[in-house]
Amino acid sequence: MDFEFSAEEMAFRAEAAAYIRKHCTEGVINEDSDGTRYVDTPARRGFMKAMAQGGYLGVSWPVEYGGRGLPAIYDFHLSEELAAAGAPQIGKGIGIIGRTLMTHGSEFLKREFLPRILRAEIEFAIGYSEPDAGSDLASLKLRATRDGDGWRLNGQKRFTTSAHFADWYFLAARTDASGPKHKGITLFLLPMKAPGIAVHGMPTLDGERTNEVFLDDVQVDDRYVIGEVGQGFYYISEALDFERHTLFPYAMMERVFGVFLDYVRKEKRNGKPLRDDPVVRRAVARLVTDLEVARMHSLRVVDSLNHGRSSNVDAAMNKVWWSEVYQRLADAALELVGPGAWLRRGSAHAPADGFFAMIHQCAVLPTIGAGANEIQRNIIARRGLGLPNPG
Amino acid sequence: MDLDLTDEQRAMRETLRKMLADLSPPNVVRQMEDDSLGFPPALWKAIADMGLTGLSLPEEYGGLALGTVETAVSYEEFGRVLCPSPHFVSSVLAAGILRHGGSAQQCEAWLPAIARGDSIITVALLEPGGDYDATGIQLQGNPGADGYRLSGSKSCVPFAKAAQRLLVPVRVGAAEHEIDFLLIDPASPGISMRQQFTSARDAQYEICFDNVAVPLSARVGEPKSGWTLWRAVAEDGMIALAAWAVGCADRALEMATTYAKERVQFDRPIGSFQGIAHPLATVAIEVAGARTLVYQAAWAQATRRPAQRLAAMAKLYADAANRHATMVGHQTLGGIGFTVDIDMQLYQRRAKQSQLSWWDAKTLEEQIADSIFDEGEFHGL
Repeated sequence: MDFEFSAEEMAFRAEAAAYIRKHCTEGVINEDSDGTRYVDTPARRGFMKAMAQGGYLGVSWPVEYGGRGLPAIYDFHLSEELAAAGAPQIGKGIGIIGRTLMTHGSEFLKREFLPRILRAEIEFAIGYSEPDAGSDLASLKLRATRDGDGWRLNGQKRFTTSAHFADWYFLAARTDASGPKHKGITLFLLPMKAPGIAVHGMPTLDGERTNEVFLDDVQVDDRYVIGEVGQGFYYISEALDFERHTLFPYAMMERVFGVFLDYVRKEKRNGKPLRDDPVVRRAVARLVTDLEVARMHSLRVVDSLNHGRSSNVDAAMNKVWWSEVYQRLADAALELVGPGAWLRRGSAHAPADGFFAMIHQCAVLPTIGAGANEIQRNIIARRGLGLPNPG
Repeated sequence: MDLDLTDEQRAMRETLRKMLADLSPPNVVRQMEDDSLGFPPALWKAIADMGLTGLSLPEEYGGLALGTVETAVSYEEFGRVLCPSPHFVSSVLAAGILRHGGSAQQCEAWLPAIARGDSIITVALLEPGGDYDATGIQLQGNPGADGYRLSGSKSCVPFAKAAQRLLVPVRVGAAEHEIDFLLIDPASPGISMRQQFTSARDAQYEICFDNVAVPLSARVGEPKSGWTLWRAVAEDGMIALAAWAVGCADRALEMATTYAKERVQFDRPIGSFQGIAHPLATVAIEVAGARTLVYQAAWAQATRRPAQRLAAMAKLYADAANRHATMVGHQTLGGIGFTVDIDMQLYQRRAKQSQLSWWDAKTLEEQIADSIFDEGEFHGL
């Protein structure tokens, strides 16, 4: 039993942290959000290019594809260091899309995309959800019909993060509506600028935006079908495993907690230090314990990975605990900071310049996104505890 | 990093699990409820025969010289079957206090006997009206040239009837930490005890001291070092009880899950309803988190890393998880679980009592907060 990372891993983290600090210049961190998901501005795109030049993209990719060939735990370490700095996370190209192409893509798609992904030249959007297909993704309806040597796509996607600035669209469409619903789905890659694509913004509570995307007779060449027709749903499920250990970085919550703790250490209410208030101290003790448990869950996920065991249930546990503690942390911070905690950034007397009011809104999403916590609990109940399926 | 137990630790767990399945099944746990001794001698002997009574004691005293991770492994198993034994007071607390503060003569007189399981020593900490703080110790020691004179009482002393000696913290000065630990023969003139009846139905006693004379040689450690000694065994104690809570919670979850798979209502197993499945999934998350936190604390303690805050967090969290697991267990079992024939109530009552015992949530939260605010900058957890 050993709860410490190896010397090699710690050295990697130290190097990565220093490199991130050096390149995380003005404008890279989004101070208006906890959002680390958007590589949309010139500063953030520049940062990702720098990460590419430093060899930090594809650290766990096989050497034959231009990666460093390191074990998957190094993705975790990098994700933690990015989160600790408040920098944008490594994009979907390295995780979901690159990995799916390596496993199932044609030689053409690998040649076309993998080197450019490693150079941070492409931003992707992922089109899974639709108005009638959320948690029940297999019921998606966006239709792809055969048209000469290619496909014609018609329908609507919803909650496509990044669609307003992405270059390529990684999209799931229905190619067969006659059989079981999860067997008629196919994955495509298409340029976001393809004729017939319209993107409508949907502003979100965290100060960011997501998008509705409408596809009207969008033509896709056969060469941009990923893997086999009709296998898309299985590829999507498999791809979830590629990033389970990087989606909910512990360091992000520790960073938020650090701002809160710093505030509590220094500030006074009615002339009395917050840090001497027994109610505050008790709440801090509980939060710091919940955070340490969150760290334990993140270690459980990478430990399963290290041992070559399935991490599905561990990852579901990590996601539920992380997202629910984040909400508790946000609530507790607002309550303990006291009157005026609701003041937003830039207002006079806003505690921590509105940081806690901002976090409180950001914390709404994680229990919903990336597989709602109800879905995660189903996974834990059925795969972990062996409880029966409904019906 | 590797969160797995070693092969030796796993083998130890299996051996212990087999022995406890034979000697500490639910009917034995039930027989021991409100028993004046509180444990079956055959079970105690089997624990001793495995060497567990001397688990963490050095070999020179006949111990196994194992570390805190092995203690956690053992306590997880004890918790799983609610093993009724004075192991915690004697082999963790008393053995720890004597090792840290005992004179050579005291150690030689008692540690080998504790390691063999021949002697049981309990700790008489609580007093009526006091809590787990140092100021809760108000029994006056009245030290003089010819020794101490005790008048007053201690409460909730576990397994006192079986104990050959009591370790008793007494107040020797007005300042908060002016406390001496005394090693006292319960047969001394002026000592009387009567059983108290607890929620967990374990054997606890009120001990009354009526002008009891205690020689100066009974003191363990330097004068006024009593609270330091108590602090010195706190990490091991918290970690052991936290591991116990993980085992107890895990078994409660197991029983509830089994029932949810078998019990049919509305023509289907109730475990297929999310109203039943999701609370059980939440318990599974909490038990998994608690277990890893407990073993991290045990590993830190065993490898002489700072473990004070981790141990407090481990007991705070594992006890809460255990309390929750047993309550969800009751809810899952429904009406039948409210009858005493069903084992869930054995787990639920002990889960809550253990959460309240030795270091309660309030005490642990204060310690954790002190450790956060007394340090300089926040550099992670």
